[in-house]
Amino acid sequence: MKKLFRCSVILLFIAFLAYTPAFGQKSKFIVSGYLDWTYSWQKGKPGTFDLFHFNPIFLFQLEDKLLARAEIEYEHGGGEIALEYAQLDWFLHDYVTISGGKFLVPFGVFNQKLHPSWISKVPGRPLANDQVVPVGWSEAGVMASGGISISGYSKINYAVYLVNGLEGAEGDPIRDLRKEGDDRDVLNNNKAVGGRLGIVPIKEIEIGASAYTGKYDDVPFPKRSLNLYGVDAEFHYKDFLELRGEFNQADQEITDTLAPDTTGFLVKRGYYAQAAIKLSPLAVSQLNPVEVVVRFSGQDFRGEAADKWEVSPGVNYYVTNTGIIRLFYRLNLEKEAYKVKNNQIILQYAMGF
Amino acid sequence: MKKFKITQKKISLVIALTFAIFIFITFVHTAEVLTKGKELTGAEVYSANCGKCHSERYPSERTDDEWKVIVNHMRVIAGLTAKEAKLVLQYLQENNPEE
Repeated sequence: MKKLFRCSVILLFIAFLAYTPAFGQKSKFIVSGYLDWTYSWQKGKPGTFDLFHFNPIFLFQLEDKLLARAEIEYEHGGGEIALEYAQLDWFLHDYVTISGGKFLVPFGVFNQKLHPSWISKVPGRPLANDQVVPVGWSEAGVMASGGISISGYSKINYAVYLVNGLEGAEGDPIRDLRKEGDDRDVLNNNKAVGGRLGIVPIKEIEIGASAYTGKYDDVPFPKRSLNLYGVDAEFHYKDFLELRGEFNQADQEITDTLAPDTTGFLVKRGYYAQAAIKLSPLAVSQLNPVEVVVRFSGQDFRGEAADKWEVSPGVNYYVTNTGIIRLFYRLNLEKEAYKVKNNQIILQYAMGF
Repeated sequence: MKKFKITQKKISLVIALTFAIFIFITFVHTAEVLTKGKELTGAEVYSANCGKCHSERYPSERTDDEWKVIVNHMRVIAGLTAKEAKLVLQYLQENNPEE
């Protein structure tokens, strides 16, 4: 109920911005967004429909150099409602944009650019972007970002930010440290800094490196560190072949249980590799809208119980340029002692608008 | 009441990062002036940047004014330079049959 109230207030505010004469004369306002519904089968469980996302995005141009945008997420048919992000962007210079508000953390490329379901080529997020980098991850803070051309297609893009830190008890799963819906964005005593640097040496390739450092526990002393590191890479050949991957590592400081006066680090690693090929070069008209995709992802934590892998082969059929029907088989793998029968068949329709 | 605590170490790190960015921009800008690479067209910039993440959006999908708002937002999301954003917008508007 509280969330519904918050979202109603946000929507009223957006309507106010869009229609008040003070803004209306200069501002331009667009509603965009995406939605997806899924039907999934898992052995031993009934098949389930899920309207996973209906996420409207509101784009404003307030002045020539001042933008505002917000995304409201309605997940699982409205069961989860939240403000994904709301930010102001100011073009300070051709190469520098200053952003403030609550924004998607530019760690790797999946969280900021690829997570919308009509853009991501495989249903669901890869394991590297679940328990290591907690997608969708947005934080309140300030950011400088931009792109710099070098020559021809060669360019560099960057982002550096200072944000409210994650918060929780020692050793908590990183995903839980986001503590959505509580007072972390109001009373936050952990600040974190981070950034990403991306290099495009030639048109077909981009390589990026990301880092994030901050404290995460919610007691005043002693403070425990959380450091994240990541690399990402992608390769595109013409408009029909795409290869991409990310490797992320989290070093989460905890008290050593054998020697309470000292601390150690929980090391959590995640990775994914994905290949997508469109069949349009075959010049068979019926196959033009078809894309074959496979994704492999894994997570490697201390102790074998949490280690797992996922292999997802499947097919995307582009009904329109932004509407896709997907059929995937998701093979979930665990270490021998922890095996679970949880492979899935996933049918999804995703659409950007 | 929790206390906000920004440590000296974090402030130093932010200052160092900011300084590094400005040094970096100066270096790259100098390199850009010296190298004077091939001038790309709007269609080439569009193809090289937009198609990396999502499937093609047709110029006819939006009005020229709407494209201006969208391309400016995409400049932030995709890390485009002002010049690249201008070229992409020009390409979309010039090829928009609705306008």
